[in-house]
Amino acid sequence: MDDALEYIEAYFEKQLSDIEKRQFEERCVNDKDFADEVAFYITARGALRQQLSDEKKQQWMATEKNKSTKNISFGKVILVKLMPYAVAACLIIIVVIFLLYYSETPQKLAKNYVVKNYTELSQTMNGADSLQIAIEAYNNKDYDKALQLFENIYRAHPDNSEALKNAGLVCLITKNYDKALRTFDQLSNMKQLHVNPGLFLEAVTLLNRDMQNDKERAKLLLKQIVDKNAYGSSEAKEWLKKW
Amino acid sequence: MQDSEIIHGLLSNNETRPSFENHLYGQYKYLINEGCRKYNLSYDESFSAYSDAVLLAIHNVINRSFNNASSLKTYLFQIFSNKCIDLVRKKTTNKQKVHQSALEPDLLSHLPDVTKNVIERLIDAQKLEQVRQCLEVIGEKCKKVLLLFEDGYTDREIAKQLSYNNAAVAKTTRLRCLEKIKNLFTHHG
Repeated sequence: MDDALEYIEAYFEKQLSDIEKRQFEERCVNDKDFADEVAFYITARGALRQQLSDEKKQQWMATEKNKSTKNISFGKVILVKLMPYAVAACLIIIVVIFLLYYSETPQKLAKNYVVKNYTELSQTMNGADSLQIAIEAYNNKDYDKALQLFENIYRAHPDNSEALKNAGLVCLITKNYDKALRTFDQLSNMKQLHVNPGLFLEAVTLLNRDMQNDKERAKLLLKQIVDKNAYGSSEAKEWLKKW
Repeated sequence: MQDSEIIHGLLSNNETRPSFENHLYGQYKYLINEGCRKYNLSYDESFSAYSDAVLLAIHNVINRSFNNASSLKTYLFQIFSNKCIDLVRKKTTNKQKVHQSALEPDLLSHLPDVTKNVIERLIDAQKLEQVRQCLEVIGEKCKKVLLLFEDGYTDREIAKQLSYNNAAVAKTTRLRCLEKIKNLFTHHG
């Protein structure tokens, strides 16, 4: 084995003493053949460094390309395999929306309207007065108590349209439709109201009750509401389209 | 991954080290796109600058030149920026970096100036390319043992990875492989 290479390596691996190092360095200057050996060693190490560098860079570049290819391939696979399902799902959604929209009857709309708007009544910040107490009972679904309170208030204050309306709503929500109709009729006759929900709530009650001729009666009321641009006219317009 | 974890992994000098190298590469590879944007480099150019920066950072961590004065990220970023600037200068002026050598400066920088001047005159890119060609014909086993040593693994670790009996056998094998290259180089050079 070539001892020179081992000696040269020992220098660059810092395995020589200070004296040995100086001797090495002087020999490089004074001994041409030895200098060639050292030059070769450095060249070889440089070539190995370059080879190593190239291999690692190729590996990293391959990882980059592999990732982007995988992403593309994965995307393609997803696209191809799932496309039929996606199309079917879209078609089903379209059909369902179509059916839902066009199968909505005025009665269904009216029922949904009650659920959406009258399951709870709004309370004001002043929770102490009797109206608010009645509303609280309504919201707690204590409908008997609520009705009694609303009727008491109305008896004491016949101009209190809110109490009358809410009494009608208790009857509507508890499916006491006949009494609800009477109450809302009374409400619609309160001329002093700037905005009177009475007619509209009558129409809602009729559609909820849905007995013979109720639908036609409701239609007439809704048309009146639209003509007068009264309370509930936007809902009335939409519901009339479903006839 | 924290700097300390990466540095510890790189210094581990065992078969887990490549995973830490890859992790370091991956952790800051967003710099490649930044290089493209900031220095108007192509992706390949910026990738090359970034890879070289990572390799140099790894080398300096392994040989303990990196002294934790800054974070690994800052250190890597500085090296990468300088390499990008060199590329831009090369493209705009068609000149190489002033002090660029065909070799990484490491081994030459070990030598005092007088010695360095003597040795430097005996080295050139053509000889380096000839040695690289010799690497292709010395056989995979020799190539592997030499590259592992160049990658900073000790003879003990090389013996473990390549199933030699001990470090001394690994060292002897390595030096014989180097001699093989020298003989090929001398014969054809």
